[in-house]
Amino acid sequence: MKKTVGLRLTEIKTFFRENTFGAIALAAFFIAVVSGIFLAIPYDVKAAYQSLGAMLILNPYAVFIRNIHYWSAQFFLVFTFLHIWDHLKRSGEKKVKYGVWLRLTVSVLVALFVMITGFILKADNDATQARQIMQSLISQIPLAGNLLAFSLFGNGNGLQLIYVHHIATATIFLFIIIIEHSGTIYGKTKTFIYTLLTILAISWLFGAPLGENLNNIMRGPWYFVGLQEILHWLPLPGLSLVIMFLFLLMLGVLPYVSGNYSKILKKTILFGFYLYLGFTVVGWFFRGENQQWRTPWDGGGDYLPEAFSFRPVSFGERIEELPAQGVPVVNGRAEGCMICHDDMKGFSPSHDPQALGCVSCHGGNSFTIDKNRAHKNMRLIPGNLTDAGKSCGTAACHPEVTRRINTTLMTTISGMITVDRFVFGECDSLSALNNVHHLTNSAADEHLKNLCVICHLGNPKTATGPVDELSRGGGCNACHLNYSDKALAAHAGYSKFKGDSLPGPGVHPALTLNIPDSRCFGCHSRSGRISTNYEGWHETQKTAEEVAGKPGYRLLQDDRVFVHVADDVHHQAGLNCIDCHSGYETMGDGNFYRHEEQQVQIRCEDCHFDELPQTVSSDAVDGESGKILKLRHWDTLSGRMLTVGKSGWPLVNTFLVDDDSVILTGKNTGKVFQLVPPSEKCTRGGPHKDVSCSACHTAWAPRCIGCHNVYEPETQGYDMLTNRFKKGTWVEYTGEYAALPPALGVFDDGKQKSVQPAIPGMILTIDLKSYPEGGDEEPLLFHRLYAPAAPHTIMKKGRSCKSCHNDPLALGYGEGVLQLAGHGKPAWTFVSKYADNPNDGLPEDAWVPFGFAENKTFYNNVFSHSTRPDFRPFTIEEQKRILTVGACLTCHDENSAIMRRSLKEDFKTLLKNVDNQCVLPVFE
Amino acid sequence: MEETKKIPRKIFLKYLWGALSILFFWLWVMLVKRATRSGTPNRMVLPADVPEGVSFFGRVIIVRRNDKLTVFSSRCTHLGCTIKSLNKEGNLVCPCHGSAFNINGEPENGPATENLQQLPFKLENNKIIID
Repeated sequence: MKKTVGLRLTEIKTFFRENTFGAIALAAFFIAVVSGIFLAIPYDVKAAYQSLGAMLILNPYAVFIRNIHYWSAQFFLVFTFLHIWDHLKRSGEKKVKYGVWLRLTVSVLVALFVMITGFILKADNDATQARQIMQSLISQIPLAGNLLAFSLFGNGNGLQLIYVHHIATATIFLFIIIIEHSGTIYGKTKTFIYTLLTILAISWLFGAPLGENLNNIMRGPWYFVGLQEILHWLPLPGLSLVIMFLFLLMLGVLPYVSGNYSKILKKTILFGFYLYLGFTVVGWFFRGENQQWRTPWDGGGDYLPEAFSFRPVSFGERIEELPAQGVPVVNGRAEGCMICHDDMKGFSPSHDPQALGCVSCHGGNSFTIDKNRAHKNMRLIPGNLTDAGKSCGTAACHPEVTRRINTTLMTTISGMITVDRFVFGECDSLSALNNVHHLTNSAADEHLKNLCVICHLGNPKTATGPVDELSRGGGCNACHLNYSDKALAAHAGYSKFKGDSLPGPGVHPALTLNIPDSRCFGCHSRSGRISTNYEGWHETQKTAEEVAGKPGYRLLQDDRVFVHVADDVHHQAGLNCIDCHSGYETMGDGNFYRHEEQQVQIRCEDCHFDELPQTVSSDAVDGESGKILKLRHWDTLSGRMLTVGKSGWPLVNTFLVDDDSVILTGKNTGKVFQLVPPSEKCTRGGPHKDVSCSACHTAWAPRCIGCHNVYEPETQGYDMLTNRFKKGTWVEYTGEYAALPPALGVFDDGKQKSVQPAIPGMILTIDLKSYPEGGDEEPLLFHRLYAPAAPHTIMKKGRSCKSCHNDPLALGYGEGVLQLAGHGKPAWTFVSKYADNPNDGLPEDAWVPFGFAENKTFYNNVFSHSTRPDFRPFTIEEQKRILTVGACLTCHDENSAIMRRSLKEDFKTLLKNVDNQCVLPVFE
Repeated sequence: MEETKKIPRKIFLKYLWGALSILFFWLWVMLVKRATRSGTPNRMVLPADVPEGVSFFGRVIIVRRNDKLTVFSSRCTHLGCTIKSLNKEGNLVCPCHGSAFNINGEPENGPATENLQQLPFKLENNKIIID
């Protein structure tokens, strides 16, 4: 005789035969009811969300019951619909009494009601919003809408009425209908047992969802996601009720119709079902935060229903370590993390876990004390831009900032990309808007990836520890992460001894508004080098060994050697970077900018003014500035503050003492500075009205000339975008470094002019054919482009007149000797320090050729010699005017009466009346 | 003797059932009416020095522009979801169905078609009082 072990195949087939759908639904309903009774024991309707969180953390038995309740309810709904489908397929509606069929039709609504009330009773954000939607929707039923809405869902925040309807009203109604329809309570015994076993297995493996209220992705229960999508398209949501009513009507009248009409009705119902399924798929996979479109792969996997995340119930969790006061609760949410990490210190008040919890930043799972589960999907280092929207940028925290930050140049590095592509000949425009995330494998983009693009905020911070000179990027942490001495010691200790026994380093780094200059240093000690310039350090090409023990040198962590020149006057006074540069500059203001000077809003004259500019009351500032004032406790000062002329944003650290006196407070230091007006010389206009403050007050600027770029296919390189080593890289062979007063150039948009410092931005050659895809025929590219600069080496006293009017460097000729020579018919002569570059015949460091004959080739397109489309060297005419004054200065002291007069009177008229002894230069 | 006209028992019970249904329906309606009225007052008192721009306070949104305060209900006029954030265009956005309102409370993007409800408020002792 054949022995049978377990289920026979035929039995399995029988179990899944369509005629058991109803029996499975019935069994699932019975299981849901019984499990619900047990679930009521730990569930506290007055603190529902909190009690469910506590349940998840410390009561695995209740969790298992809750899972059974949840999954049996889902089974009930799914198999109820399958059962209806089965009925329609077999024309079962004809075999049921009409009264019973009608009640069954109505019970579809009641089944959905019992499901949605169960969803609402979990009381997380999704549940709360779902309740409001249901109330609003039902209240739109004509005549009895408000009555029904109030009677079913109440009108306050309490869940008592909904709880009563869930466990009693709807359940009893369904029981009566089920018994009337099937004549049994739990269905067939065998089906019941198999259903129970299946639900038990699923309930052990997969948990019922509970949101952590951390994002703006509001999603109804899966069976209403289609409705949510439909409602997104319906300005008149009441129409959804009409559609629902029509479907129920079609279902209800089925017993009365026959033949073709019946078939049409059933096909319509089926079509409606498929359509609804389509809406559900769209709603689930293609809707993100605030119901905005997204693709499933944009969501980082969070489109999967939470219930399908694999997390078997663990009955062995220890709860002996629970604090005496029970499960910690933060913002109404049970926070299991704080049971293990309760002694973590070091937070700033606004980021204290007592106010935020841990999951708000770190993610993971706060509803468990099992380490592995709690840490699953956790962000060890939150704040990287890839996930900042889910940590720093969650709805209750800084969502605007994490959206804006993607527009800032520190994230896009648009200007750097544009100029690089331009010099490689891959882009004709210097006004293009680019983004580091859109780099290709072209020669220019590979050059950027090998040498430049490590400095962007999107470059993730991947290791714990403080931000230092080697740090690049890091999202929010790049600026806001501050390790105290205690945190540093704790981190060092934890890194050395970390193991399972340590719950963490014990002292957390603080996230604060105090951003020391060292945060900016990593990136801004390169390229324009404003961080090092500001502190007075100039990069050399010396080695550490060459300067060992010598005073005046500084060795950076990356082994570059700097020599001290002179620091910025603001640095001498004790001002930090953030004292001038606000969050709207650094983190963006929501607009995309092409180049740095377009994004930077602060101007010298915002603080150094002769007439009080626009001010704003401290209690009328924008939300973000208001928040900063509060956090810095400056809101109590209740006065007026300066605004940035270019943008109108408030300078939150300035305060009007009276109409003539404004103070600025150091954001990090608390030092108070009296703002000083500019000298009378600076504001009287006249011939220098277009000269910017920095053109005169910049002491020096770093220069680098003669750079050669070649691709070396065998050299080990690094892809800064993916942070991976690779074979083959662009290599930059640098020329000579110098710290000299800057050249001067002109921003000229045709309406306004502004003379600004300029430095040799791109005097270089590029061996394009060395790049594998560069082509054998490509020439050696050569560029001589100067760049506008903000060197951050401001000196109190401005440049002397001669340092501009008689200086070849200032005029763009480069270093050398500029002399007025010849008697009777004097002319300017220039002897360059550097040899002529064979590529264009100009001295290596020059911007413009020396000579006053019309040089059409060079000057006809005067804007083509800089890295900006609206920045140019002085024209021949401007050079002549400058050098004419320079000629005067060869005899007359700049403080002489005649030179002073030249600043006030019309210079041309003055020249007509010069003394016979004065001989003006000839420009030929 | 005149024969008394008897109402059949079934009919009588039907009428009685109908009358009792009406009675209970009336009781239901009245109960809900009174329950709606007797709800606890939901007064909110907030500091008046809210910053310029938009501030979210649970059931209300306060917009401050050039010292002018406007208080809106945070209930979306589409289906009552609570609005609690701005989108990247600076509009108030409903997380449930994506309706967006400008800071005057006017709908910019559907599905909502009605303005956000503007709530009356009082300013007393540097506090905003909303009933």
